[in-house]
Amino acid sequence: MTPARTAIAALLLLSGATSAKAQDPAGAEPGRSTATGQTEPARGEPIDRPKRGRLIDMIRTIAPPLIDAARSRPPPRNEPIPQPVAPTAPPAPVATAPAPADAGTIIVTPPPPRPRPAQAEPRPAPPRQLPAAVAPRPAPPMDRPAPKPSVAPPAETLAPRPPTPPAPITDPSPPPPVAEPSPPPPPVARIAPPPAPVEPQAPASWWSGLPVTPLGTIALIALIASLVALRLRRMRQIARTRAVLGLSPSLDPAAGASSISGLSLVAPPLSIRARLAPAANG
Amino acid sequence: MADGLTLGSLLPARLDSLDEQVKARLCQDEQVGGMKLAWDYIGDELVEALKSVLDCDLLEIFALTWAKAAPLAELADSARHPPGERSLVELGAHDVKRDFHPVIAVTIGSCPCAELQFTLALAAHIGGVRLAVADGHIVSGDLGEVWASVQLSYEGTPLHPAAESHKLALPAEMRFEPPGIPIPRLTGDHARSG
Repeated sequence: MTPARTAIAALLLLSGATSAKAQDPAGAEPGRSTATGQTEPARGEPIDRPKRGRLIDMIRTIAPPLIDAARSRPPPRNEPIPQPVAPTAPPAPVATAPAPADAGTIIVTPPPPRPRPAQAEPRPAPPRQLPAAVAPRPAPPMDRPAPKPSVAPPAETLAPRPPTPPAPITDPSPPPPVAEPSPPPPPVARIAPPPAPVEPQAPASWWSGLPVTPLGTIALIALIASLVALRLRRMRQIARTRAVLGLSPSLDPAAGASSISGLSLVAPPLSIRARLAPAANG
Repeated sequence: MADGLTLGSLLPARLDSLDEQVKARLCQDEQVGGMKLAWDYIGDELVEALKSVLDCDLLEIFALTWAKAAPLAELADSARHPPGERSLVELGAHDVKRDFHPVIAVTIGSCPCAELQFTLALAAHIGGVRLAVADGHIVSGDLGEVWASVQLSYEGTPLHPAAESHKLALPAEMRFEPPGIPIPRLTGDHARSG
């Protein structure tokens, strides 16, 4: 990390004050490559345009990866002191050597604009990596003391950075945007009302008045089951009885005592005898 | 004939204590006592058996009772009432009582048969009746109002509360199957005395 930043600082020193415009996202446009792969001279640059332009392009090509590498390490966030200061810059440029070699042709660098957004983007990330970054902190302090004094001037060029670290600390406030989801609650409240209309439907059912408690249901089922079992047992008992039962009734009408009381003739018996009388005188 | 008016129809629909009486009698057999039987079902079957055996025409039962009465016995004398003579006799109000003894043989499984003898006591009040007698038989008649009731008992124990039946709607004219209900003929001594 430190070496990478030192390398960046060195390159920036080489580029001189022209970097001010080059770092501007708007100013980055002039350095863009054309369709033919040639770079256009930046507008409003001093007289040494070609050289400085190349340097700027080199910086633009080399800086982003180095800056990204530097960002991947958390420590710098919590410390207000500008970390980009790294005395041992040489190693970093060596690692990115291929870039300068290709500088002539590879100056195709849409990345240049990134450095800025990259510095702004890290803000949201830091809060999440805080826990992991806490451990490494103790180590960096060991290297920092040395670089600080020597890198004082470059710190001015990177002045925009220092202010950024504190920002992330305050950024935790962004979480409030997370609170924005709170607006959704209103819809939840909208969902609540529906239950109310459901209640009136319940009483509509015929069994709404009955006890629906599990215990009551179980008791009802048990009662029905017992009744069914009783009925089945009764049917089996009757079937068994019917199978073994035999009945043969009999009655003698003449048998048995009989009596009549108060029997009397209301009138003398009337007898009718009819006959066909034969002829009197043959 | 009084169609549908039978002796069994005077019995109540259910005889509550019949089950217990019959159970106590039949369970004297240990084998039957050990069986889990539906005694209420047996009671219902016994009631149905009694009603079937008591499916007797109530008017024929009355006629049999009248035939034994003295005023009618004289009409059976063929010497005084030759064949072809038709006699009309009008009887005043009177009460009739008669006992019947239906018997039901009950067999349960392989157990020995048990005979249950019941007693059915018939009591009736007849407001008046006019009878036609021919050739020693009651052939037809006209009835006035009649009240009748029955009491079923087993070994002297009533099986249901006494209840008098309603006023019976008997037909005004009744006819018996020819030759009709026979009138027992009196012996010579009885005939002379009558």
